Amino acid sequence: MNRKNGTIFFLFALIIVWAGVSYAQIKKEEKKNKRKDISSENAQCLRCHGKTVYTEYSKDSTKQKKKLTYSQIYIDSVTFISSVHGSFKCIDCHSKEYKIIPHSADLTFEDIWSCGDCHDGDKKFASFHFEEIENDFNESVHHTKMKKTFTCWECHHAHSFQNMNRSLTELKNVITYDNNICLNCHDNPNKLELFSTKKSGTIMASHSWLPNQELHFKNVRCIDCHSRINDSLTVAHYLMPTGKAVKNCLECHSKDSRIMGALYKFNSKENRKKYGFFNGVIVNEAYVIGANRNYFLNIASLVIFGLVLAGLFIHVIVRILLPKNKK
Amino acid sequence: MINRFYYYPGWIRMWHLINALCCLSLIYTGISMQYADLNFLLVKFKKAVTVHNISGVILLISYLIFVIGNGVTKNGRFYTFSIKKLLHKIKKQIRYYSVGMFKGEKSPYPLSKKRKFNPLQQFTYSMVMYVLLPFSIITGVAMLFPVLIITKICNISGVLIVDLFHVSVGFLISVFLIIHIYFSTIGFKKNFKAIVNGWYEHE
Repeated sequence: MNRKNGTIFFLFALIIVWAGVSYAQIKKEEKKNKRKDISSENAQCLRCHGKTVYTEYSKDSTKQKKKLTYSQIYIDSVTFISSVHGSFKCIDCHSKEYKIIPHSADLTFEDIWSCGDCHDGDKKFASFHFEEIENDFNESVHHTKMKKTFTCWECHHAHSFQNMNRSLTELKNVITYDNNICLNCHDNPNKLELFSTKKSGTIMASHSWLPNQELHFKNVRCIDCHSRINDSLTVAHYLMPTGKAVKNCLECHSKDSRIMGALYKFNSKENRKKYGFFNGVIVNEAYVIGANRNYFLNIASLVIFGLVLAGLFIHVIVRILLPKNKK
Repeated sequence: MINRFYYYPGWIRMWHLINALCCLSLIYTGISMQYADLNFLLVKFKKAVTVHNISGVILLISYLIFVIGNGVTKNGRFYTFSIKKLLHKIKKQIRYYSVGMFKGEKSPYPLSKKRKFNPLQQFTYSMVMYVLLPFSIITGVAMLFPVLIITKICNISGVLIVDLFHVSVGFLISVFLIIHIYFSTIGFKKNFKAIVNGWYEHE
């Protein structure tokens, strides 16, 4: 390549780099502006719904009174923005009539979307298998016992839901997040009363049979024992009736631990198959007695054990063959 | 001429018996838990955990009695040894066990009133009683209170590391036990009698 060609090539490369950087910058700016638009539009709603306290005025505005925002219409703006739906405008899902203040009383009866209303059949979300989730949920005790009163929202509030299992967060956070979803009702008699006539005892008392209770609660999700595993779903959605929950220690504390198909599902399956449970999830805080078998230690122990037995066997043979010289 | 040495006073024989039973129970239930499977199970999982825990606590108490006993009686001196020429002495003893005894040679370190264990026994018994067993007890006690163990060490579960050490040390103790039982069969009658009535008869 002569000097002239080299210069042209250099300039050409420079233009491509410049174009690339500019394009990225424009995209970033567009995203930022879109976010700004959403934020400013949502700010209109959050001006009331994002505050825990609001002020009510009399018709002639001479009197005013501060009141606590009703918890069901309060939206924590930070939680909403960091949720999976944080990039949506409020009116993407809610009626445009909400723009009129004060809102019409009829809007209280606005239909609530279920997850499948938006996500079913959407190729972008195919890996989540929303249709299968819906099927499992429809068979689940939550649906069969409570029919329409229990919707997706009870566990996956659209204003706060985070997809913990597929993010890179620590396993302990996933467990705490998931268990809090269950405890939100099952450890809250007032909330439970909304759905069930059943009297709730404490979670500790109903799990008194479980050894090392605190350790189990911190390291296993409720659904790992209370749901039927579905291989194509990351999180099982078929919640079993109380009596059918796992009570046999071996279902988890064994080589084919069910936790492998549930809690630790998002870890590399291949590694687990080849090296066993321990090696496949070593960096994921996993520890289950009976399921943690180190492939290499197993081999080493077998070799040592074999050598010891072989040595003793040879000694026995020599002792038998040379009895007279035996001391 | 037959020499009789009173090597095993009552408290040692009692400790040895309890220690042996606890070790066997711990190994059996330990294997059952470690290799638990829906198709393979030596003892029911919950039962194995309970028996393992109880045996472990009894072993801990008996170990404390052993250590205190060794401190207040003369038995402790049988576990102390000089590291000077230790390797040479151990090699000599191993040579005797693997070659010498078959040629009718005399034991290089015959037992006497002052020598209850030969150098190889002295070294292995000391290692087992003062290194492996305490390590296994400490990790075992930690596993009894797993919530107290540091959650993560270098991004690996603290409980997992403690368990790996516990299981590995348990395995080494099992290997020792097999060799120990086998070697007690060399002069089985003398050894068995001694551990039952305390008197060791030596020609």
